[in-house]
Amino acid sequence: MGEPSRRLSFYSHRIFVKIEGFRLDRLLDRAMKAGLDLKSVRMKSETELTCWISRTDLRKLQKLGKSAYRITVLQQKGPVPGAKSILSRPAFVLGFLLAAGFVIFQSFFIRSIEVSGYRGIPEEALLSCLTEKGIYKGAYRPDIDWEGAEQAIYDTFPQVTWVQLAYRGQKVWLNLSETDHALYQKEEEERPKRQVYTDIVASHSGYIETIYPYYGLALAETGDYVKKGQVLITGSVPIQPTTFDEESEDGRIYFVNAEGEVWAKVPYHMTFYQERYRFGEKSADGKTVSDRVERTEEEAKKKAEQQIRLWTAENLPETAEIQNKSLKFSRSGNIIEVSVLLEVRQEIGIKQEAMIGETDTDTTDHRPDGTVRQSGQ
Amino acid sequence: MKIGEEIRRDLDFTHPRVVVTDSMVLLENVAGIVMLSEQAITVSHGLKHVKAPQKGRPQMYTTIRGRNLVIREIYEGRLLIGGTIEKAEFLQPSDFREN
Repeated sequence: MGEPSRRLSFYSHRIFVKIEGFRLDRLLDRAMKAGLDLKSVRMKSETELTCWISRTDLRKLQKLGKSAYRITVLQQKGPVPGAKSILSRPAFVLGFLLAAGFVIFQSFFIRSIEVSGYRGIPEEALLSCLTEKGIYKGAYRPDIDWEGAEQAIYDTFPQVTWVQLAYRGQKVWLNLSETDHALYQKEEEERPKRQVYTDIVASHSGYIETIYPYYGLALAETGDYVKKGQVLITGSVPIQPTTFDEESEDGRIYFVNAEGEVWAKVPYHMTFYQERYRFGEKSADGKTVSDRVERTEEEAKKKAEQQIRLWTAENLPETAEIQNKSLKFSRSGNIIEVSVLLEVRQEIGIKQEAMIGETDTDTTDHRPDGTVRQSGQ
Repeated sequence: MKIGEEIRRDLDFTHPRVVVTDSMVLLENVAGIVMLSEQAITVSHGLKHVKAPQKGRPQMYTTIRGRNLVIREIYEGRLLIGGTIEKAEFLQPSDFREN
């Protein structure tokens, strides 16, 4: 007998025995010479030992021992005696089979349905469609027409592009995918009739130097001359389709609150007036030297600079920077007229609210793209 | 040891071959069990059907002494003995007579 089959034979049905008699060493000697497989041979006394032996070898050992030795079976182990032990208890076997049968029988009925992937279609509508095709809690699973149920979902909901019905045990999964068009229609329906967004418009006329749109779409470029109130960065951003099969006229407009920085060179024209003569000029000792003295060019220029500084402090923001300045003096009668041209670098972008949708005011501006603009500032 | 001598010893089934540790003894070339107790196990060596004295050699015996000795396995001329091993003795028939 080979080693694997010998071990298999031993462990499939092994018996723990007690051997009693005189000269037990002779019995063991004969057993060894006969090739019997003995394990855990333990001498209890001179006339008693215990050991494990396979079932087939036990018969041979009993033949070798004849009537001189008494062999008593104490214990049996292995799958064969285990199965025999279970089968010897019919009530237990029957109970086990009934429990197993109940579990298996239960697994043929649907216990729960999980729906995922839906966006526009209500879950109740999908479950209702499944119920019509025999898929509901407690339904007998083998009777279900799965392909028919999938087809029913396609037929009932045309916006569904993909359906998967799957089950494992008592649970059923419905996974589906909808087209974006239906979702877009739903979003359009749910969108509020009025929506507010902001543009960045020019606070002064001037030449654009830099334009940084953080949110929104820039409508002017560096070097452009813009007028006061002109939209520089719009919050109405058209979304271009990214796929070829979408029609371009069906493109959507996305509204944001525009943000950004716009710096421009703004020209300022202004005129200042000065008195041409000074009166009552006195010497160091207090005597009047002259009644009327005409201002010199330097004095007029100095006075003009002072007037410009005063005007700048009142009218220009702190961040504004005068980059160029031109003065022109003209004398007529008692007055010196100073014509000033300033070239100022300053931020001209200011926020202006706009509104789309239905309106009941007359201040709205209907735009070519269908939206309605309303001045909010 | 030369390889020829090593092969000759491996193929000699009449001499005892013993592997001993403090808790286990493996006896090979066992011809029969002579004496058995919890303190000592004595076995004879040689082939089953050819007695060693017939080949001009004296019968060899091995005694393992210790405490709580258990024969863990008997199979095809090999004995695996467990327990607390104290001594391994190699004996000849003359030793028994002297004792």
